[in-house]
Amino acid sequence: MHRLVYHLFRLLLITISVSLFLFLGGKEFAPSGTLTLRTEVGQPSPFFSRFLPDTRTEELYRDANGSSFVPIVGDPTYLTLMPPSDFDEVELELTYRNQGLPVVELGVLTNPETEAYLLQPLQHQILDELDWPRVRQGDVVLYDRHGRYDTLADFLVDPPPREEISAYHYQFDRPFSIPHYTPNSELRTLDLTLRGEHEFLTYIEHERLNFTFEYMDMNRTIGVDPVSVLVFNQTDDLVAGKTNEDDGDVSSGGRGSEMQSISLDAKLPDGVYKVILKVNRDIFFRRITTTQQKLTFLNQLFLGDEVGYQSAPRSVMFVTEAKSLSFETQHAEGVQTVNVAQASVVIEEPFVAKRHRVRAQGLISGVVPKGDVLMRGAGHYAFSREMYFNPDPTRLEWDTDLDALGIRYVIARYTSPEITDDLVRAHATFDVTSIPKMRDAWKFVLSLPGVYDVGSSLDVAQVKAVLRRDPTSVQDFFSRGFKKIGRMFDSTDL
Amino acid sequence: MFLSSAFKISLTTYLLLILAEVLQPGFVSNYFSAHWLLLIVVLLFLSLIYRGERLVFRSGVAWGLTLVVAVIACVVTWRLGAPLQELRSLMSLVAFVLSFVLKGTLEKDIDR
Repeated sequence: MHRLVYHLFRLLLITISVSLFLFLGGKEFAPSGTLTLRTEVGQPSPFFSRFLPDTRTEELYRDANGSSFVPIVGDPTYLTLMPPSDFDEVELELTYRNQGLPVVELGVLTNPETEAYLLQPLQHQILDELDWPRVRQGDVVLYDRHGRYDTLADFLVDPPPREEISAYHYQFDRPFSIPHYTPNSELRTLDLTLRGEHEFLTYIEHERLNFTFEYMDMNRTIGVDPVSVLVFNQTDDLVAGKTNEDDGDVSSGGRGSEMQSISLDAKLPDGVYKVILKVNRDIFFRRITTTQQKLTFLNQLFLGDEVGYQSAPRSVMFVTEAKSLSFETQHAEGVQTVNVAQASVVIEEPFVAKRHRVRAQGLISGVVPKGDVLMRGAGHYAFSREMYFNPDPTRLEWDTDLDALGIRYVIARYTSPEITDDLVRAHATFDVTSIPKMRDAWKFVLSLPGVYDVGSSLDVAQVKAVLRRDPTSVQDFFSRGFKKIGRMFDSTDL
Repeated sequence: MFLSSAFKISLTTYLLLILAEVLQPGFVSNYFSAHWLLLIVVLLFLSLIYRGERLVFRSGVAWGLTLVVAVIACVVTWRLGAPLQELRSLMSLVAFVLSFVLKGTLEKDIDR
């Protein structure tokens, strides 16, 4: 009897020990393909960072139910997620108390070089409160002021004029044409310095797409600096492109190359094309020559410094319809006062982004007296009114006045969050198969447009991530195991 | 007998957890601290001494546990040994072998 109890006791301990390893193995290898991680704010987590920087959050507090909240009072804030292994998809869910912020968006860092984030909506007050008739198809919803369309397909087949449409996280890819447009072969030159990667839209009609970019490789960081120019049509298909290799200097000595050029000439169907200048920040475009009459840059302009090119800085004039702008310089020489729609924006020190809210409606102009400024803000930018064009519908911002703009339709890729009492549970899903990790972690941004104007906070209680991939087969299990072992021995730290 | 078994199983579990953590950082520490188990191992060991029970490992188990300790010592030495430069590999090997040397020395002492 005593012997039996002893063996049962041993069996119990061994079972507990084996179960422990099975539990840990299950978490590590997630054989079902799904792993859920969550953290309450204020609790340290091996998977999630806290919201950073600390200057944009306030002190943690507990409500009457004992739940902890961290108020976020600035924009943007960042959060990293370090998964225990690789996954294909991340569904990030935030539980928070919205103290009156109009828009909450979450994004993932897609390009560390350009700091580009892919944003998704979590909550939009205008859409949540809009009482227009609506039709939904999947995650796309059409708000129709007069209930003219029965289905989304009807709307897309026979759309109203663009001026009547506002879009939110929706790519409206209907063919675009400029009335009374006449092509001509006159060469236009943009004589200014643009640093690093840029995207712009151009328009062609009965003409060839034609660009020459003159650039210098300033070699300020170690590594190769290839230059690619890629052209995409409205359905995001690559239709033309060209690449120049590095200048041969991979050092970080800051010795600029001779002027080099890359030209592109293509016969393409009429329409709007997106051109991506895919380069790193060592590449300074000094001159753009084209026969195209329309050219608007998307979401950011990085006006480069002229060091190693010419002695004096040059002023740059721009026009944009963007309303929420930020200006930042990386050099003491770039400290200056930028003029934006008759308002002055003082850049007081390097590496501190100065925000500016444009009050004027429509297209506004501005002047950057010394260049050397990274200018950001969702919208289109051009270097003259003649070159400016906007083929996209009005962007639904946090303060868009739909009545004042005569908007009759809002098309959005949006689902309202769940709201229980005053707690909001909102989530966004990201395909992370091609998303780069920074120190083994994905970097997310929590964007709160209008937070500085409204002066309120988003009080976050919980962050949850559901990580997904295909279920692990026996073959996958061994393949992942061998990969891990291989990585251990590849690494210098073992 | 119960105490001795509990000690051996806890010690083995603890060493395997540390081995897993050393080979795949975060495997254990992402979920809990394995050192709570070490506390249990120490308490069980002290209880064994207090009750004067003799602790005997089967030869295979003893070799197995020594191998686990040797791998942990080797990997930890390799990780911390970057400043040793070319001596890093040698020191890692010494750490590996040292575990077996210690095992032999302890066995001799006990036999005496």
